[in-house]
Amino acid sequence: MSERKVPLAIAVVVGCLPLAGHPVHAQVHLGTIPVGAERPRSSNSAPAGPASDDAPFVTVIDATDPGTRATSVAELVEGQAGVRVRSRGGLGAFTSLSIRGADSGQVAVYLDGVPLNRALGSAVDLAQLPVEGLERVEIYRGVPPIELGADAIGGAIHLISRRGARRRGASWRAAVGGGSFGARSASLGYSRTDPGVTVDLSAAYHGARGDFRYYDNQGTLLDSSDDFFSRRRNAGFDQVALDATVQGTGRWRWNLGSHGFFKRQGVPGPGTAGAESRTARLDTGRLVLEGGVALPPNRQGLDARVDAHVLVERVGFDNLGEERVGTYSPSRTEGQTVAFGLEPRIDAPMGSHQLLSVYGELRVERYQANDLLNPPPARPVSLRTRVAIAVVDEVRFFDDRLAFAPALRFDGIDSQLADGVGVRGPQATGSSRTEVFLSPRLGARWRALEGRGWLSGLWIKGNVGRFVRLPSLIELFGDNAFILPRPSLRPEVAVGGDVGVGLTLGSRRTQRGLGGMLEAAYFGRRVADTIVLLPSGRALSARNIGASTVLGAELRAEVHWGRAVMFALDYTLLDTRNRTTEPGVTGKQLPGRARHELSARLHLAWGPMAGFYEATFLDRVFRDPQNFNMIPSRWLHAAGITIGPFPHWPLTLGVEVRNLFDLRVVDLPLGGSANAGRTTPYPLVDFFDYPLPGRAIYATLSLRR
Amino acid sequence: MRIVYLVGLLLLVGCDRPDPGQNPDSGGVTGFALVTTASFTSSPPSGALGTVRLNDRQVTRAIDTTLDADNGVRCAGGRCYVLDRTRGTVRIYDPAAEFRGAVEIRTGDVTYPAAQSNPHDVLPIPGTSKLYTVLYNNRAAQALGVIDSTQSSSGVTRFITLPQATYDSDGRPEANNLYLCEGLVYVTLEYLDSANFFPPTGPGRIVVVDPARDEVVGEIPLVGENPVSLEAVGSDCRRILVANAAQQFGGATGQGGLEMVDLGQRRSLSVVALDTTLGGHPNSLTVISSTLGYAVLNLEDFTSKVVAFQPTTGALLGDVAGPAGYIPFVGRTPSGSEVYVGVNSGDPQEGQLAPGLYIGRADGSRIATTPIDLGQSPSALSFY
Repeated sequence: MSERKVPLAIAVVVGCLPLAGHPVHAQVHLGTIPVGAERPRSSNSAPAGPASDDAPFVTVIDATDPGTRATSVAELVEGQAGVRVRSRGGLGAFTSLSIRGADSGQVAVYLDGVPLNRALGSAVDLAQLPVEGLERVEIYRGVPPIELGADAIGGAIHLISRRGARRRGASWRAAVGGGSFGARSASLGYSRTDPGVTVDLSAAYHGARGDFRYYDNQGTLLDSSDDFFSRRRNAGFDQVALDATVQGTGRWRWNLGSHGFFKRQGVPGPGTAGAESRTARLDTGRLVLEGGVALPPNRQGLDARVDAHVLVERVGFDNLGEERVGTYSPSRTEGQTVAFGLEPRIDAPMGSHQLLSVYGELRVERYQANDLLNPPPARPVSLRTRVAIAVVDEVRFFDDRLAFAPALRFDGIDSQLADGVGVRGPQATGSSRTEVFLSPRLGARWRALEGRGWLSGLWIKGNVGRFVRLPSLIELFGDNAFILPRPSLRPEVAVGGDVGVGLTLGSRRTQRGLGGMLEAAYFGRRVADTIVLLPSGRALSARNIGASTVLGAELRAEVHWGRAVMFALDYTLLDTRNRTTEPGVTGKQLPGRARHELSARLHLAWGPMAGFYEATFLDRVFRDPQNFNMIPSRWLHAAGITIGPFPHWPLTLGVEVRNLFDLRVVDLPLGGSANAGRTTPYPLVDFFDYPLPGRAIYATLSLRR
Repeated sequence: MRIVYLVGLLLLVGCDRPDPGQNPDSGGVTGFALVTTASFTSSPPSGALGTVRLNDRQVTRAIDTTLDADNGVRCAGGRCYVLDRTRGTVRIYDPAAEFRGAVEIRTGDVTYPAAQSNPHDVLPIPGTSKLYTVLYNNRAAQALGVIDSTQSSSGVTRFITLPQATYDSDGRPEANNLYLCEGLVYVTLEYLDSANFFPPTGPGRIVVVDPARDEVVGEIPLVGENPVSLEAVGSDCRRILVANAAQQFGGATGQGGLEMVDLGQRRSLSVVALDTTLGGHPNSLTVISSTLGYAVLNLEDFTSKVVAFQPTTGALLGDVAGPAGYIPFVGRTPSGSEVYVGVNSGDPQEGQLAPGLYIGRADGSRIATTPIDLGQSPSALSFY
């Protein structure tokens, strides 16, 4: 009885009402980097992933499937319930992620606990996250673990690195591939698991010309007589990724990881004849070093560990080779980020049904921009320092069937723009501001059924939390060019939650006989003080323009008959509403969000052969907050087969076709009373006027030993 | 004697109104304000056409919502012309047909793509099917494009070379405004440094083009820098006031202001008000009479406001509207009785005007009405 009073007392002390957290068995996800040795493991050496009946709504994707043709995390997460991936082109092009209708900048992305969202600008390019070194991807669609930041308004993606071989000993893996539009890839990996230590090494190359043909209306929306199919130029890329992890699994548990990435890509711009840049290029280099150590197991069951990371990133842009008539400002710029993080953590059992966790965080991020053509006398430096502490008190009742996890996170953040801003444009030299905020959360889960006959599991769970996304450094301090500083900008504040039910049928884990799962969730979120860039004079400045609300539902279903037949369905219903002060938008649907999104996948396997067919439906999407203009709904199809591996011959050949029916042109309704009933052919796009490729074929040959 | 009067009357009629956003000859359909709007939070940024009936302010929104956010508009000769500066097109609308069946023409050709041209203004040449369009991003040899409005698929049929200043090394004169007076076309050149975030490189210029020959026939050097708009003072189209915005990033430095120009003499008469006197960078302006004009001032803190001033002396008469985040235009109705102010962005929580169209009496008094909602933020204005 006394054990049950403790969490209530803590809740009162910390002033939390809605708190978020996780059931005790899900503590493995509360950690960040720790990915740690001390945590429960799956069959391989990586920490166990979250289970479907953990409090957070999470989708876990196995990134090690050799049949998967995926160059990046973007392709891996596409089609999942609640997830919308938007690309600016073909392979390698900038790709962002929206979860449950959130802005891409509101989705937190972590690699082994290291935040990849930059203080400079918060959206992460998923195309810059290769998969070869990954064990799995966890998509937290609603309220993520409190370690994954206070600013995860739109959920979080956690990338978990490989941590050694699945069985004791060594294993090798290699793959080569190629396909449409000059796509090519090669990768090599080595994993080893020995008593007390695991090692994993991965190296991967991906590239493509990206020269697909697309429908070009030459900018004349009202006149289709001059339209033609044009070939995309300067859309190629080459990227290399090197990942290495080592971890000690003995009495002292430790882990070290190194993740290097370099990418050179063309920056073609929108797909209109003459508007494309032919030589502009973007170089991105990133190195993440991370590690952690935990105290040996002790009699009290106290688990204490500390993790740290260093991230160095350089982004360079160059368009000097451009031969253009207009809209061209020669530019050669670079931006350098150095980030450091330290995260101590203590998990203290308070009896057998309660776990108190205290998590701390210190993060310092330094960004320096430079104009290499016109170097300013002193280069501007911006700095963001974050100190956070979080408390999660997890308590279980009724033989652990019912669990509550109130949590409270405190963040103190200081943002500075030091002296030395360049010589032109608006300046915010010496600006700084400090702010603190609380992020209370609450998670609850009830396992109603466990392992009883064919209905092998039934759970109900819910979460609620408060989130705060700080303005990015550019939004706050400008870019010394066309974006003006606005140090008075308020953070985006969101309150969101979800509730859902799930059940498992038969043995889903072993996939024997008839089985499956069903998960349904209802969610909502209100974001206040939404930040957007708006014109101000002949420049832009960030503004808080009001609120938005999102209500929605998700359905995930999977039915299988052994390993021979599997059918999966992911459906998302979104009702997004604009509550901003911009004229004519109140009550309108948020742009870029589809009301209905559905993905269905049929997988068949027979001996060493397997095949799949996938259909994805995206409802119409409004392009503007006024809902004047829309992109019509679309179906996209994909199919593929794999052959292998064979006994004594561990080769697998996979062939996959994307955009099977070569959809490249849609009938775009023209908005406005003067255009009533008119449509015009328009290229298939996600973002702005960036065309997407038509049918693309890829083949991969992979080897595992 | 009657013939002299008749010739005089014809000369007056032949003088086009100055500002591209103002009402030239309206081709028989009168009584509406055509307002283009913009939404910069769209993907891609987009705009729309809306109208306001002048006599009762009845609003028609979303007539065509497929415009570019970076747009411009001019109504003349019974047609309305809307520019798409991002993709490089001009759309020709017939207001009498309720804007249905618009024609769209590219402002480029095979060699000089429309998508890079950035058309800033368009002017129909009376008595012909020719349109002149100034192409802001193009080099001097392609800075003025000629379009045949009867051949929509041809794009620009020929380019007219505009003079480049020796002090502007980027090769682009940044041609911005077109103005018709007594059969000649006047083009303002800004001479900005496009390679370095567009600061002025020296004084602006007005170039005189003979549309009958499609040739440059004269130049008028300006004193001020970065001429962004111009407007006739009184009924004589030859006497104009030019708004020189100078370097708009930062405070006024005395390089800009309001400059009186005599097109007949082809010379600048005087700088009637320096930007330092005005307290900001003048942009859009409109002249009601010889004693009252309005100008949008872009201020050092990157807000905008509208002031009333005395056109011949430049004396400030007071603030009329603002502050706001961005005010793209101020314009007067054809009768001169009302003034229209477009507020594109503004945050009321910071004491700024909310976005919308503000209408007030053209008597120099403060405009204190609630804004008209056009569905998006106002971007450009013309009357027909």
